[in-house]
Amino acid sequence: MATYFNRFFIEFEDSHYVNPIMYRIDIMDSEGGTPTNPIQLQASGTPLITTIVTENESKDAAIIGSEITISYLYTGDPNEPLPVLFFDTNERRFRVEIRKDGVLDNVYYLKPDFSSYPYLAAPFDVQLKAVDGLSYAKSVLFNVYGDDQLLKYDKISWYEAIMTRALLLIVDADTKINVLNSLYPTNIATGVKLLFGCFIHTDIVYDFVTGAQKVRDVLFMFAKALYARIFIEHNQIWFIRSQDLTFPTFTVEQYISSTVVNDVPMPDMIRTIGPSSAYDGEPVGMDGEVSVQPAIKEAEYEVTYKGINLLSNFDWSIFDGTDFANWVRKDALPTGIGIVVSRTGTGTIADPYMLYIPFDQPPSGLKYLQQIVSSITGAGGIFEISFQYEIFNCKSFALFVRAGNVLTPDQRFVLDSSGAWIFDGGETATLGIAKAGKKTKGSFTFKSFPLPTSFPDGSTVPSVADVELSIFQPREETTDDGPGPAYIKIGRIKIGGITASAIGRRLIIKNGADFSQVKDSEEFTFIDTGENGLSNTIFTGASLLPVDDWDSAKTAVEPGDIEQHMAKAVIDQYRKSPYTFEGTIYSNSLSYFNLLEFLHLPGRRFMQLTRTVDHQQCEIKTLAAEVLEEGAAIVNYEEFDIDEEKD
Amino acid sequence: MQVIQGRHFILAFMKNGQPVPVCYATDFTIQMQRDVKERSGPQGKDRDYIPAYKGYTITVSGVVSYIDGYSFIDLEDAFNSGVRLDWRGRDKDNGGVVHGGTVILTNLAWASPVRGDFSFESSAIGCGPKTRELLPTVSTVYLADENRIRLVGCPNPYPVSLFWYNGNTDTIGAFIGIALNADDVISQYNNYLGNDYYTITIGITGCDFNLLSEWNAPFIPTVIFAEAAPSLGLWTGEDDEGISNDQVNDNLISPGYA
Repeated sequence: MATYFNRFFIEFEDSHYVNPIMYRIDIMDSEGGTPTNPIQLQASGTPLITTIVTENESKDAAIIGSEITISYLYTGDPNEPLPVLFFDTNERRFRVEIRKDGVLDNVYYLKPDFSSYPYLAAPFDVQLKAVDGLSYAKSVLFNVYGDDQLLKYDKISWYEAIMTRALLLIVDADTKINVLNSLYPTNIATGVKLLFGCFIHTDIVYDFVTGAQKVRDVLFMFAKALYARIFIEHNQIWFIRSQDLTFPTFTVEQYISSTVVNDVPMPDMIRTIGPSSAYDGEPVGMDGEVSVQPAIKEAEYEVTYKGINLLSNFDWSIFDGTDFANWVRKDALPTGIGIVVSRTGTGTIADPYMLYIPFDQPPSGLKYLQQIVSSITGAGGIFEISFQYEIFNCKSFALFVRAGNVLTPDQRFVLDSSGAWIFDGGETATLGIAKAGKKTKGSFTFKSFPLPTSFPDGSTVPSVADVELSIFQPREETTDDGPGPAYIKIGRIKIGGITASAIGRRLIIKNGADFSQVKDSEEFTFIDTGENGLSNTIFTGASLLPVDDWDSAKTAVEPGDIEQHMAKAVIDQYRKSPYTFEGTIYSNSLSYFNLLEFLHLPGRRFMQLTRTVDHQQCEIKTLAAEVLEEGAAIVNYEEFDIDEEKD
Repeated sequence: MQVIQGRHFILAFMKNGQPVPVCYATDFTIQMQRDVKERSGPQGKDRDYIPAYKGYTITVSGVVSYIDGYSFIDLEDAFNSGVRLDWRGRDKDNGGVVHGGTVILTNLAWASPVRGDFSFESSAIGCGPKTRELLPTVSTVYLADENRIRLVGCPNPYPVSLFWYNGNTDTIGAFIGIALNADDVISQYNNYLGNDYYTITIGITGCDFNLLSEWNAPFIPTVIFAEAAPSLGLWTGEDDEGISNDQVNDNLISPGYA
């Protein structure tokens, strides 16, 4: 992260009539000359507004960013920055630190595209917008690389996935994450906390064609799985499972680093709202409204299975100058004519290693292959292939995929271009890849039909079959791409095995109560199939085995798979129409994570969904929705396989 | 009851670091406003508020003078430049309640009616708090008899009988005690039970004192009432002659023989 120095600041005191707070807004620059004494800018009428930015106004909004609007008075004084200083910059140049009574409250980054100033003679108010790290998470890629700059293709802890390789790329290195969650895998190691004791495989956040996922999308996977919300407040990350907001008292797991976690009580989690300063907030204005959000009758979720790569040395990292480890030629030298391979690239993130196969003269059919003996997938399983390639001055190349008992001629199937498995009758079926006109770079993704369960002779295809992937040398040399040799280059290559005769699964959950709203189908990521070979699996325990059931200490909660808890949560929280409060609350001490209890709405507890805070006026305009009890809904839950649909 | 007459209120703007009375200002008004937020909720039908921001505006009108005090020219310059003006207003030359603050002139109007004086009106909006200082009044007093005549024997008329004031008037009142010297006067005067507002300190002679009167003192004394030769007699200044001040016992002792 860049080094920032303090360049401008704004100070103001809010108008709270009991406990006014002194605010200081520091605008810090990462560019320019020697740091000088910061220049004070005059706060204008509404110096600081904070707005919550969410994808929807529902309790299931997962990633919740916040945005501030700073206003200062530009008088034309030469010491004051021209408004354009903040306009013609990139988004991370100016960092904004907000302090309340001297304590760092939050960090934002100026976003030039929403800032404005009037086209008038000075003095006038300049409005600057700044966003917190989560907004930036939309554009930052998950760090899927190791210190050696090679792909980190392995199981990593949730802490590593959520913090080390994701959020810590966009927030300060010492940022803590507070987790409120009572749902734990039943087979997690004793005494180990959630983010340290649960693991994912990085395959789920990496695509061999499109690359690493965005940080925001990765966070979304986790939040969705637990019906949790992720947001930044008081310069800390909050991961709060909404189903757990019904406890009488609260303790969060506060992860300080990749090794340290503490239980931190939250004595002020619940705030009361009433008509005097004895309460934590007072309703003001005549726009307060109690309403309801519609209950949900039915919700549907879909997951697409993703197999973990079966190939070794798939990133071409182990190379002795002639051969890649684990890969072999069909006709090995010196006894026969073998395919010539070499390696390009420097092995960095920007320039990864690639397999290089030059165009060669006949004999045709030279290929480079890897056999996986007893893969984790077999009869009935689906195989997926994906990689990036370059093809230069030649027209096509082909893959050849076999599965079964690969070493036995009449005990194996070959994958054809329709995705079907045909009995191996002489290596005729290949997956051809043709160059697209003058495009020299391309990608290939392919999913097979389920592998047959028996061979033509009636013998059984093993449940852990052998798999063989071969890459043929390129064909049809041309000069279309200009001077230079003809070749193909293959990037990191994956053949993943899905141990199921389906490409995914659909969940449908129905509310037993009579309502009519059906939620649009949503995609999700983590599913507890218990399959080691799927990267949709969450792993746990010392041996990093698939998660068994998830359970919480609550009596109303039955042990179940994570996706069942996820689906139940959406009905639990909308099993009936939850109350909402929409209105303005006078306070300068209500945090977004605070739960609200209103004097005149007894027995109900509200979580804040959206809000806009005018800090100087101490006015919080909020939409808050009632938290409903976990496990109270009567539901009908069903799961279905999603089958491959190929023409 | 103390009534302050409007004409005693003098408004001054700061000019070159000094308060300068505003030319021939006649009328001054100040309007202070407080914003409120209305509490809401179903607790009742009575309106209830939370205090929020406050501010004030002032208006000044007067007769236009181009040269005297803070002149109309100064006012117009201030208006044109939009400068923030520090103002002070008070009804006493010395001490008392001093109002003040910083304003920006928002309105300046002048008129030259054919049958009247060339006059102006202005209004200004307060920036920041309206200040109020409560300052003691500084004056000098001396030991005097009931007719406010400097005590015979000054600068050293001691010992003397000290007297307080009569109610809230600058006339002789109750007996305080006997003072043998100026320090004694200070101690007895300052510590007198009936003294809520006044503090004296040593002055230029043994008979003179500096007086600090609190901002809310009901009146500003001009003298400290005293009689020489307390409860003894007053030396006439000649030989052994003396005049008793004690008409009952007729005691008389010459200080020279005491």
